[in-house]
Amino acid sequence: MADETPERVPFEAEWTHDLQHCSDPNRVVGGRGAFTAGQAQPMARRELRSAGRPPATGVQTERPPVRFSHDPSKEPSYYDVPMLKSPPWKWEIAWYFFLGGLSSGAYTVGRMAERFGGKEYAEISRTSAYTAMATFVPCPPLLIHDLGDPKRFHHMLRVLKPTSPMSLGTWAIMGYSGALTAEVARQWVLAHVPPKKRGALLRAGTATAEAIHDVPGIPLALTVAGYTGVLLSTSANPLWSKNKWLGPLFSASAIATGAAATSLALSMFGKRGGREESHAALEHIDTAAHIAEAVCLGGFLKEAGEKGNSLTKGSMKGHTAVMAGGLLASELLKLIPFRGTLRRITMMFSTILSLVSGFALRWAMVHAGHEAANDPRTNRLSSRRADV
Amino acid sequence: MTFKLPIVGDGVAAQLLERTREMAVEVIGDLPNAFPPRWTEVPQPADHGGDARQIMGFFTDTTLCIGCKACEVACKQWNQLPAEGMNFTGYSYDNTARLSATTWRHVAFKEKIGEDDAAGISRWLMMSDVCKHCQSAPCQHACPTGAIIYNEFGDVYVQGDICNGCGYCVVACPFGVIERSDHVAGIPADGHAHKCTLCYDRQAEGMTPACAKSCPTASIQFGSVDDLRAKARQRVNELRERGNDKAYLYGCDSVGDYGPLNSFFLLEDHPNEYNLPENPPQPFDGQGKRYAASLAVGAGLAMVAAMIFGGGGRRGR
Repeated sequence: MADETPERVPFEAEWTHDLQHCSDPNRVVGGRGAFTAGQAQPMARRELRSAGRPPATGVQTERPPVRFSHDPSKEPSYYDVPMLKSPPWKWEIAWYFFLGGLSSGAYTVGRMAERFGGKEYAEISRTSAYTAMATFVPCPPLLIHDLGDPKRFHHMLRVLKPTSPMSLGTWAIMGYSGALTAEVARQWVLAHVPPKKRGALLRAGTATAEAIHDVPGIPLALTVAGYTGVLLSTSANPLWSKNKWLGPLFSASAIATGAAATSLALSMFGKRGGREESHAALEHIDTAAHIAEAVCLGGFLKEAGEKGNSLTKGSMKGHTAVMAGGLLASELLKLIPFRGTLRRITMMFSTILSLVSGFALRWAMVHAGHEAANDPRTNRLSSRRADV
Repeated sequence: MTFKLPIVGDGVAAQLLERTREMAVEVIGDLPNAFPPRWTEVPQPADHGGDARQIMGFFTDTTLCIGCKACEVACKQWNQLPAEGMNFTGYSYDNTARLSATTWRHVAFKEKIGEDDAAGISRWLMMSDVCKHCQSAPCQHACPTGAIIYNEFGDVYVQGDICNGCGYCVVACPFGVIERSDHVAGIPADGHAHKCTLCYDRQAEGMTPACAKSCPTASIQFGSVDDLRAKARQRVNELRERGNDKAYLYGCDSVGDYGPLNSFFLLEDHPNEYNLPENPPQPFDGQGKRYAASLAVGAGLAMVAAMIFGGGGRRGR
């Protein structure tokens, strides 16, 4: 039997060209060298954003404007699978927002009392320093516990990245904790070392410390109070994203809870429950902050519009009601013209309501964010083009 | 028969000590990573060595996708990503549903049954979804540890040895791509953020990413983004000439006020049909104003406090 070699198709055969209609676009020729063509010039950071715009070839490749119905059942969607990932932040973060805000608010109020009120309000500055410390101590553990890999908490400190609110916040917390510790130490010295026993060194030290507490201390405290809101608003979450009222809302709430907590601590641990004037001053600060808070909440909900539904209509609506109701009730309690002990008791209730309101705000805001991210319709809404 | 209480068994104290020692060693071993604190610029492709490399990316042409899921499998295999269990979603042939910490390529299936055309023609939408490798990536801006960088190929890369799982990138991504791996199929995982690396390891050796390599129809194309963008525009032109006027590019140019994407798509329907945002928000725009507003409210209230304390003092005197 003769070997029959199969007839070879000549490579040049005309029909083979049709088979080669699609050369492999992914074939990398020349290995490593293929990437080092050197064509791409490094782009400046500013240029990056405008890069990739269509060349002036007249080729219209942009998406044609798509009109679609606002009827939810007819909206284009992918089986209503949420577009975004749910935030991994849970109860730890809500507690941190509350306690960190309270601490920085109390610190600010205390510093203002000492700087502008003098010796008359010494009890406020002392109580607020201790309150700030007591509420600040749980914060770092809460933040570390929230991390996916808590052992690496110190990686936060390997860079300083002002573009990231979390990085900025981390460093603000570091600075603030230093200022706060020094403030508490100074208050302790003031309370426990009589003026006659203070040496020249201690006197000079406390004067310097006072300046440090105000100049970097107060701005750092205000950053700690407000950066949390900015952090949330610097996200893609439909509820929080780019809402300019969120930072101010958290700042105002921080001052309100700070003043309320100081007042509460004063009536619980202060000498004879604190002076009437001290409580009156703290009440007024609380009221001012509550007004700011109410305005910011209104602005927030107005700007969020339908995207705020998770806050007002979702499972967090009870918390939002507690927040707004607590605000209102605490103000109404202040208006009751009681005197003496009865007044003291109503004021304590008022401060407690203020604190509850502040906590409900943080809890609702964090958890409503989860709901907003898991709601496909809100996802689509937050990324809709303004012109369609 | 002897019973032993499990809690007070032998060596519990020793075990605890050993665990503590292990943790201490790990933290101390990590310290050189963290200290000293340093300022970081956003790394640019040019920062890596003298030779400026081309920015590499993906062009995913959904008109060519046949939904074989070879990319999904190739990605899992190369990157050694675990399965996420067997779930039947009921979403056509898509039982993956979304990208996750352990799914970096996801093929979306959409059956359009006679709803678009008066003639009642049914058609498929299939798209292989992936990290968009934004040129101005919110996850990269957000990362407080400097774990997320741009590598020398201009792609967004998460450094696994740096990430501590803060979760900010998850919240920042407007495409819902990156995820923290708290649990994989119910089993506790490392807690770090994970997403497509654009096969950094393969690219470094001059190879094509696994998904593009395995794509049998050239729906996923890999190359220098400049080439890909030109190719993509040509492709749209071609399709339009053939009468497919639905084809358009998503992310080739800026999407609204969002910068261009290094991995972009040719789509045939509204972006929401593919679970893509119509106009992804760039959350880092206007950050300064929001800081200013919140600090102003704080400072204003501090001033009110100052006035109250100051005024009260005068009244008292």
